Amino acid sequence: MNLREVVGGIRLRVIEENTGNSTASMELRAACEEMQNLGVAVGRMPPSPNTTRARFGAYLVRIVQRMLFWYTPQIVRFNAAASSFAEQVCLTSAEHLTAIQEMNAKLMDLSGKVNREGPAHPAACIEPDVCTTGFDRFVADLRNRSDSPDRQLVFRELNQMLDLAAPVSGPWLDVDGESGAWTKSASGHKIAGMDANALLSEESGPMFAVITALRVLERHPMVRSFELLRVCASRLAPGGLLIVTGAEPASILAGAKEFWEDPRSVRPVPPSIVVAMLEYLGLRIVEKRNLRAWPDEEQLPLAALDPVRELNARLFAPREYAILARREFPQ
Amino acid sequence: MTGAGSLLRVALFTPLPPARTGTADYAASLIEELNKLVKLDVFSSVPAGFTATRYDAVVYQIANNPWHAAIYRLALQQPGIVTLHDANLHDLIRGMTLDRGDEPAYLKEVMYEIFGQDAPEPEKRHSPATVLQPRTFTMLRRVLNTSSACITHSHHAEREVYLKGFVGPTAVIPHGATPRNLSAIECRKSLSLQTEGPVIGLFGYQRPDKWAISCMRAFAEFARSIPGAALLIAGEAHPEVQIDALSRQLKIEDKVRIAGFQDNLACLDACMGACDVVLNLRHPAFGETSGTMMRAFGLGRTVIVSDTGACRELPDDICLKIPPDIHEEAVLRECLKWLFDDPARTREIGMRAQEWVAAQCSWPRAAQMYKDFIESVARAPIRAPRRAGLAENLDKWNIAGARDYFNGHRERLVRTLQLIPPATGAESILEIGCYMQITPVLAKSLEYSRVRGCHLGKAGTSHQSSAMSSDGETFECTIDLFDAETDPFPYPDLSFSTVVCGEVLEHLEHDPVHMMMEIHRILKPEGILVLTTPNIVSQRAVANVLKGTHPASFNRYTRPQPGGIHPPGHSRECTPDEIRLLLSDCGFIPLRIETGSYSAAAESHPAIGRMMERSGFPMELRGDCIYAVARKETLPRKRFPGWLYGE
Repeated sequence: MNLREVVGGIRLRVIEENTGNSTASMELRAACEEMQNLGVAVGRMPPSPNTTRARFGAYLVRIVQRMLFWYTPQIVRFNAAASSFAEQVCLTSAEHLTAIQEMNAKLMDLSGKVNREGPAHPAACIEPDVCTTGFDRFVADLRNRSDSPDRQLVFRELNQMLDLAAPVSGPWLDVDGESGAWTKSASGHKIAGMDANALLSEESGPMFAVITALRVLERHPMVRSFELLRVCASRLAPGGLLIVTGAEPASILAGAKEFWEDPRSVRPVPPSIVVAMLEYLGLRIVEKRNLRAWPDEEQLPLAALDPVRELNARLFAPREYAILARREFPQ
Repeated sequence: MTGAGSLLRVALFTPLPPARTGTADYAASLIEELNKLVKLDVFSSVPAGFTATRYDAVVYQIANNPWHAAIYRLALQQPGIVTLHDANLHDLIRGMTLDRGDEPAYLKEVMYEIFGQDAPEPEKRHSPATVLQPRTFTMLRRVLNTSSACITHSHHAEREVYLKGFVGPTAVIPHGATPRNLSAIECRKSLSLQTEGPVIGLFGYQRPDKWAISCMRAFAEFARSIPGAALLIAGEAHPEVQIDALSRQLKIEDKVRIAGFQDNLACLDACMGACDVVLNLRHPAFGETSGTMMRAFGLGRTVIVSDTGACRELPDDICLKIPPDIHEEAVLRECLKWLFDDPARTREIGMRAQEWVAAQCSWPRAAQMYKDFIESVARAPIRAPRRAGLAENLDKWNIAGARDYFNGHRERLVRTLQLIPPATGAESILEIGCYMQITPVLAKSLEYSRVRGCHLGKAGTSHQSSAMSSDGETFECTIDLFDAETDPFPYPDLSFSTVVCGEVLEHLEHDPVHMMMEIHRILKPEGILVLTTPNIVSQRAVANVLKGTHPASFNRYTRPQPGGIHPPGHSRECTPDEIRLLLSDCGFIPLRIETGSYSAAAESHPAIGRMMERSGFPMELRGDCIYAVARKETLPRKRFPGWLYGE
C-alpha cells in the first residue's frame, strides 16, 4: 500500500470540498490560500526585472518612494491640520446642536408664556390704599400679588439719572401712579403725588424741580398724553427735570406680553414720540436710557450669528425706556 | 592506541537520562549495543584533563538542546566524529551567544559560517549579517571544519553537511529503535484510559513547530464523528502552546488526557503503547530524525508525519506523510478518519513500520554501523577527499575543445563540481555560461535528471549541444541563448533545484542584480546557487597593484570577432565580502564562501603573502577565485544595492 498516494487522494478531496463549500469559514480559508499563493507569486517569484510588469512596478514604487520621501512632512502637517480642522468642525457642530436645542426649548417656553394667562412679571406695586374700590382696587390687587424687584432697579436708575443731571432744589411731583414706591426709593426728597386728571384740571400751581411720569402716558390716549406732558412742562421750575418712562414697544416680548398684563395699558408710546413731544414743548432732552434689559442668559444663544443677534435684538430689547428732559433757564 | 584485532577505544560524549533531550534516550539505547562492539567510555560532562589521543576515536552527539553546549565546545577543541542529530545548530549557537547577551560572538559565528574563517568585523552599514539570522541559517560550518567525520541519521541531513563543503567521511546511520510489542489494552489500563475506541498520541516537547494546535483541532473534528476517541498528550509543555486553554476552547477537555513529561522510558512506552496512532508533525524541519517517531515505529504504531525534511526519506508504506500546507489540518483530520474507518489498516501500517525498524533501524544494526564507520575513520584517518572521482570524470569529458581554457580553469571546475549538491531525486539544474565543460558531469556523476545550459546570444534561440567522453559515452543538452543581465530567463518560476553560475558575474556590464533576481525566480524554494567569480583582492591582484599593473584578472575590453561581436571582458571583479552582500541582498542565504585557485599552475606570490602578513593585513580569502554556495531563502531585499549601484 502506497500511503503517499492515499494521502495525496485525501488531500485532493479536501481541496475539492473546500473549493465547493460556500460557508464563510471555507471562503475565508480559500481567501487565505489565495493570499498565500499571491504571497508566493509576489514574494518568492518576483517578476523578471526587465519585463514590462517589473518595470512598471519599479517606476510605481520609485514614484511612491519619492513622494513619501519628499512629501512625508507635508503629508504629516496636512494630516495634522486636517485632523484639527475636522475636530473643530465636530466641536462646533456639537455646540451648535446644543445651542439650537436650547433655543428651541426657550422658544417653546416663551411661546407657552405668551399663551399662558396671568402676569409673568408683576409690574410696579400699587399701594392698596391709593384706590380702595372698583377697577383701581382690582389693578392694585393684581399687581401686588407678587413683588417686583426690578421696579426697585428702575427707581435706582432713575435716581442715578437725576443725580447726574443735578436737579435744582424744589419740590418733586410724581404723576398718576406709583408715587408711594417711587417715594420710598427716592431717598431724601419729598415727593408729592397727583392724579393725571387732577393735574390736567390744575393748569397753574406750584412749580416743581422734578416731575416724574412713570408708565403714565401709555395709560391714556395719545391726545391726553400730550396734554399731560404739556401741563408737566408748564409746571417745571426753570432748570427743572421731567422724567418720563414707558414700555418699549421695540421689545417684542415686552410689547406683546408684559405691556398688556397691566390692565390700565391703552397703547405703548414709542420713545421717539415722547422725545418729539418733549422737544416740541420746549424741553431739552438730557438723557435717554434703556431700562430693564434682559439678562444675557435669557437671550437666545449663538449671539455671534447675525440672524440670532437680530432676533435677540427684537425679542429681547430692553423692556422700558426713560427719557430725562430739562426746562432750560430763561436766557 | 589499540592494535589491529583488539577492540576500538571510543569516547562518547552525550547527554544521558534524565536529561530532558531525545539525544539522551538515543544515547542510552546506543550505548547498550555499542558497548558490545567497542571499548566505550561515556561522558555526559567534560572531564578535566580529557585528551582525545587516549582513544581511537571520540564521538560527540550534538543537537540544539542546551545540554549539548559543553560537548560542542569540546568538539571544537579536540576534534573527533560528530553525530549531528539536527542538521542545523542555529538554536544551539544562538543560545550560547546571543541569548546570553553576547551579540559580537553571535555575529562572529555568522561570519564564520559564511566565510569559514574568523573574518574581520563586517561593515555594519552594508551588512545583512549584523541582524539575527533566520533559523534556517544552519551554523554547522565551524564544527564541521574541525571534525574528522560526521554521522547523520538521514540523507537530507547529509546533504546539508555536503553543502557546508565538508570533505571528510560521512555516514548515514539510521536512528535506532527497538521493535517491541506492547498490549494496547494493558497500557491503557495502566494509565486508566479507556480500553475501547481510538487513542491518538502527541509526544515530546510541544514546540510550536510540532503543530500541536493543528493536531488538536483536527482531533476535535475527528472526535465529532467518533465520539469515543481520546487524545493523549505526553511531553513537556511549551509556553506558546496553551494546550489546556485550547482543549476548553475546542470543548474536548473530557477527551484530552495530558500526561506531561515522562521521566521514565517505561512510562513513555506505556503512553505510546496505549495509542493507535501517533501524530508527529514538524515543520520547518532542520534535518532531525524524531526519536519519538522511531520509538512509535518500534512499537508498531501508525505514525503521521510531515512530508518534509528527513521524513520524506521514510518508506512510503510505513507512515502517512502530510504536506505542510494550508490543507494540513483538514488532511490530518481526513487521514484519521480513513485510518479508523478500518482499524485493520492502522494495525497493518504499524506492523510494516515495525518490520522496517527491525530490518533497518535496530539498535544492534545502528551500533554496528557506528562501529564500522568509527573503525574506518580511525584506521584510515587521512582519506581522499569526498567525491574525488569528479576530477577524473571531468577530465574524461574534456578531451576536445578549448583545452587551454580548460587547463587554466581545471581546479575551479573540479571545486565547483564538489560544491554542487548531488541530486537526491528527479532534480533539475541550470548551468549559466554553459560551454559543456562540467555540464556532462552534472548529469552523469551528480545524477541530475534534467540538465539545461545557457549562454550569451540572441534571446529566444536555443540549440542542442553534445559532448563525448574519452570512453565513448555521449551527452546531449539544450543550450538557451539570451543576455543574462537584460533578458528575462526563458524558464518558468521555480524551475530548477540548483543553478550553477560559473565565471559570468564579472562579465556583466550594467545590471548584475537582474541576473541574480532571475536566478532567484527560477530556483525552487530552498534551491541552491553555486557561483564562482574572480577575486579582486586576491594575493595575485595585490601583487599586480604593487607591481604597478592592473589588479583585474582579465581585460576590460576585447578585440572584435568576425561579425563585429565583442566578446565580453571583465566589467567588474568582486571581493568575497561583496559576494556575500550580493547574495544577501538578492534573497539568498550564503551557505559558504571560500576562495581558491583556478589551476595548479597558477602563479604564486609568497613574498607578497609574507609582506602582507608582516604588515598585519588579513590573509584570509586571498585565493584567485571566489566560490559561493547559497540557498534561496528570503525575498530579494534590494533591486539596486547602494554598495554596487551607488546611492
